[in-house]
Amino acid sequence: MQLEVVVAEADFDSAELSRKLVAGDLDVGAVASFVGSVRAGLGDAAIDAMVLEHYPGMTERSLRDIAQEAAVRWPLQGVSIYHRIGNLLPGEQIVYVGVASRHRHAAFEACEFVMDFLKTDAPFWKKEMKEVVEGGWMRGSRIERRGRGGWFRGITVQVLSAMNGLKMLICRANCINVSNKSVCVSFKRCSRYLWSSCGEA
Amino acid sequence: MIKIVYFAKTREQVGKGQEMLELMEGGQSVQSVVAQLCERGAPYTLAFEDERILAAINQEMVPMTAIVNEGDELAFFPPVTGG
Repeated sequence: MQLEVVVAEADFDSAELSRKLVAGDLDVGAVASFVGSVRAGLGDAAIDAMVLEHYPGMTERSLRDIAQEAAVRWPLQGVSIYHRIGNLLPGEQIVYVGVASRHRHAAFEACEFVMDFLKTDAPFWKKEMKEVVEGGWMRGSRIERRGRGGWFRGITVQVLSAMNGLKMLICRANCINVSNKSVCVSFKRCSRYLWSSCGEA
Repeated sequence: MIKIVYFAKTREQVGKGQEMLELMEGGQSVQSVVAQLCERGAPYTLAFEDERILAAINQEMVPMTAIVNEGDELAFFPPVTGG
């Protein structure tokens, strides 16, 4: 059985992943696939961004184990899993699962099985980011206007001095200047990380 | 010596991503390592207060009763939220 597992930051093309999954195997009669994306949420549940963390080594192995478990339960020609990590914005793709088999029942069922167990067993953790501050000042950090240095979106900056337990900030716009000693940021909207709790992500 | 690694919220609460630990003699369970870390007080006591915390030895999930051996990598993290 062909098995492909990728954990990476880059976005994916699900049509291309499904093509690779089949890869000229003329015994494949069915391909079932799933794509999961970041939901923006509504009202109190709205988020501005999400960060996905993983356990390098264990995560890939866990995904391979889940795929192989599916191959034990159903007759499969191939399984392909692509899971992104890093900073993601609402609407972006997170995960692709594709399953190829001779007939459709195995493909549909195995695809659902892989997604279900990926969600319960694979070592990934999501951090939801919600906007809490508007304006130019953050407690405990020095802020300077840097003029027209450049515009950045979705950049992750590590704050070297912790404020209220915050270790990282994502700054949405305006110029960012990071030195070894301090972060100087001029920003319009600054969002802070909140860990998503299990079951609510 | 064992290597302890922390992920996600557990890492944020402990304040570091990894550390080395000297095992006590005669074999030690994961639960016993947790107790040893909690003897240091905060922030360990806060991090391990969450009963749902999970453990893995050498990148395989284990129960809290599993034995940690010399040279192992022991990971602690909250319930997973991938997909």
